[in-house]
Amino acid sequence: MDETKLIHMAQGGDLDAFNRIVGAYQDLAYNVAFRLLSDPAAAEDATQDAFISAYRNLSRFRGGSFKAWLLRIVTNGCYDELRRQKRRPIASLEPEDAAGDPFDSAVWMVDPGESPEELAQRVELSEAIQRCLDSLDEEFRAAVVLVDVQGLDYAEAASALDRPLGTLKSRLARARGRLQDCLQGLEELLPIEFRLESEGF
Amino acid sequence: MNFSLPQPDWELLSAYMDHQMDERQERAIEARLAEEASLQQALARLQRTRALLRRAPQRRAPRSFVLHPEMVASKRAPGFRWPFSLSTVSAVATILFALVLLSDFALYGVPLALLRGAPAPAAEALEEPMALQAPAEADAGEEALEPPRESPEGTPLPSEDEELQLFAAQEEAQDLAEEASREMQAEGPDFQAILRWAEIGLGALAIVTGLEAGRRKRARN
Repeated sequence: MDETKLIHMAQGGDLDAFNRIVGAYQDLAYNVAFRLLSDPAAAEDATQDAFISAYRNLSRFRGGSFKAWLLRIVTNGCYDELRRQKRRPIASLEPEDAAGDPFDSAVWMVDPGESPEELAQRVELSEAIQRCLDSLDEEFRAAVVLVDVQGLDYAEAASALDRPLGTLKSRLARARGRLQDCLQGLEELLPIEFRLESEGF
Repeated sequence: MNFSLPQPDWELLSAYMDHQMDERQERAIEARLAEEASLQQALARLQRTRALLRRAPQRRAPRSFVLHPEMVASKRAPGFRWPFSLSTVSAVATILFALVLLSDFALYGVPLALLRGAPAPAAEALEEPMALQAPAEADAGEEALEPPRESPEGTPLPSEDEELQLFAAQEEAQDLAEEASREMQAEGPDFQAILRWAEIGLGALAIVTGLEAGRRKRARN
């Protein structure tokens, strides 16, 4: 069944139809929340809250890209959470979970068939990228997460961030420039092929 | 950015890399790239950064986020929506509040909501005849002691009989006013009270809905 029909059914109160949409977007929503919040538990809460909010406000969706509309709810929820964290910093700033393990544990990695070396390399890459993303202001981070990490096109990303296209372009360029500097400083965490190429960084 | 390249050039390169330019802009930047080595280097670095970001591992959702009825039961069904937004209600309440306030000023010269001890119309109606009656009685007492008077122009004032008739007519009018006020109290609407409560209610509604609409807007943003 196509997305438009599912949305229409969900707007009529059909929770099962909405849950099929949830199934299609939950990985994307969770990844965006995780890259913005840099905390798996907070990302989980933000994703769940975003789906609840999306269902309750589905009558406000007037067509266009549902993905962009949903991601706007996710990013707004993440901004709220980041502001809450700034007001009440209770969590450790170290990138680790409650057991003291690095949060980029292999458990959630997508490809279970890869070799230990490949896995280690991916964990290192993910950590390096996340550290550099964390150094950006939230709106710059959101621009680069949506376009470069999640592969949204400019129009969808601008709609998800509720900003004009020109603002998105400008923020994306700045974010890429800052990430480039940051990644250069974390060269030891980059995959070998990028380290070899990093002479140019 | 640790090497010198003006911000507009970064933006141009970033947009060029993502094919977010029109043909004319593309030709212009390509002409510059052919000439400027620093621009070529910067483009190469940007391309590597983007390639690295695109390789950022994607995570699988740690659990299912499907909704259960109890998660969404506390709010209304998604299909339902109030016909007016909160900000519209706030705007209408503010306008009505201003109109009621203006009518107060026009009728009474002061907002009724500020007159906490303002007497109800029925009480005023009952007090009024007494107030009218008292000077009339005082006048009658004084007249009994004084000789008949003349107006400054020499026109004779009404005789005692005529004054009695006038007094009787006044009393009759007061009786009618009292009766009318009692009827108003029993049947008719208390106009001042309605106006006063409308003023308080509309003012409170305008403030509460305005604050809530602002809060929701901030929450959405």
